[in-house]
Amino acid sequence: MSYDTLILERTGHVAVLTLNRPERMNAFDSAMRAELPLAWQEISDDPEIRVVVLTGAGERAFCAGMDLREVAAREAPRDASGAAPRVQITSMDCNVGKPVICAVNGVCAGGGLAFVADSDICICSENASFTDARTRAGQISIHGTLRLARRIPIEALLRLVLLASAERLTAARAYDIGLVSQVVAPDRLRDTAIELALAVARNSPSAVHYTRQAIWESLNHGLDRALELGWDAITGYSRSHPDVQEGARAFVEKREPHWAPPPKPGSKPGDDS
Amino acid sequence: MELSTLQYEKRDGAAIITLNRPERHNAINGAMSRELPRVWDDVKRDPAVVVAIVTGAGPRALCTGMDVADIASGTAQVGEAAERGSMQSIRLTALQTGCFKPVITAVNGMVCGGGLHFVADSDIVICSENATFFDTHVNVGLLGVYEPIGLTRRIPFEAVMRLSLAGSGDRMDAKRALDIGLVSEVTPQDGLLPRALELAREIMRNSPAALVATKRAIWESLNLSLDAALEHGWSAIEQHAGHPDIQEGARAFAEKRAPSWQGVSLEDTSR
Repeated sequence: MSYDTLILERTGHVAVLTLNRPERMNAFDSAMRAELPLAWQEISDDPEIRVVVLTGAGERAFCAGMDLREVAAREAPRDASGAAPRVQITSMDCNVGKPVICAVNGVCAGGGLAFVADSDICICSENASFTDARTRAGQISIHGTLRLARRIPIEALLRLVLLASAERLTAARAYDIGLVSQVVAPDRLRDTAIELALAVARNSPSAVHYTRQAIWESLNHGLDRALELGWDAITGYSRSHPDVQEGARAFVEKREPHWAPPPKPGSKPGDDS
Repeated sequence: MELSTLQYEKRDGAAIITLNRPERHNAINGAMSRELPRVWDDVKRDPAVVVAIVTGAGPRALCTGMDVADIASGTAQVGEAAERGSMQSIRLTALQTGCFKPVITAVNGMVCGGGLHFVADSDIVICSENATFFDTHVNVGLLGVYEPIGLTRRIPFEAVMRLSLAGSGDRMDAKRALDIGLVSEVTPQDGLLPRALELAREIMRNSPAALVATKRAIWESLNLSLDAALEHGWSAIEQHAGHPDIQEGARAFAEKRAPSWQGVSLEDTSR
């Protein structure tokens, strides 16, 4: 499928999804908000895609958040009950169970932070920066923000949301506090992200799927309970999944493993035996 | 104690547990999985032991997890027969064996897969310059879940996910481990154990009962939401209120002398 505001490409088992409104710093307008769930669905449905790289077009911005020009021009949309519809732009918003590597190629602002917050792995270019002007635009900063509270020191997050456009987290600072795990030259970003995605894609798709699911789920629980649930995932999976034996055999025989196809969306450990 | 996979020695109040299968990068086999709980039980019961140090033999690895040769041959038998397959069969660390004495882990090289249990369950972690941290579970079709869940409480989430999903090709080095707080110090290889012992000696100057109660309250707080954790912490303070070490600590401070601490009871030390 082709999109007006996005580019979806495939390299082996890796999909590269590019936010493509560079003239508006890849801000999401109603068109992009409509297309993102379709693109995530396409990614979720394609068994050949194991890992996703998410990035922005152009050299200036990854995503500037909600397109304020559009917000200013018209009444905010309301559903029948009078509530604003939920923004569904990230893989998490759209219930995609595949790992996402965010490659932040410039400014990441406001609602654009949700892509970072919901990613599994995040790297950025030297010119990347992170800022959240939402409170200065009269909006509350929630989308993305609450998951970021689980990813970075709380001081850094509160500083970002309270100082709004006066605060800008640099790539170097993002690396220091562990928001990103790697900073590279702008012209190396995309390739670096794809290399990382290919490394993830070489591992058992099922093991990656359930590992990712279990670690995210652990954030909903206290440590001891989280460990119990983690153990349940391990035993449910290990009891029956063919990749367990195949992985060990391939290791011992020093050959490439032949993995089972990835689990269907929404599968739980033990489902695919 | 008869041990085939561990070296276990005591220096003053410090117990030193050395994983000792250097020819297999100190990977955990069935014997090691059964010897570790015995050693932790001794740490817990010996009133002279205040702090434990975990490290690995040789210059290359702390521990590379479960011995994959055992898994591939189908002879992997972790833990005691009665518990096998249950979470209780994983009894590698002090926390997993219900021992609340402080633990320092000195990472002397590679640590990966199940070896990350020792890092996730430590109180203090230091490493040598050649240390690397990675997770091989998904490479061999296993879930990298248990150890990383512990790590989500110690380091930024992104670092945990990268470790778990990227597999053996993507290794965190000692410098990055220091940056993100996975370890608090990096030493030259030959300075690692001496530094761990120095830290142990500093810890041993403190009240053993206060150390255990403090450690316990902090770890247990990770099971609770913030307000509940604070309540739980206050109840720990109240329970400790009548402890003789409180008076002794204040007196020794006023009299400018070393305090003479009470031993810590087995009941307080264990879960």
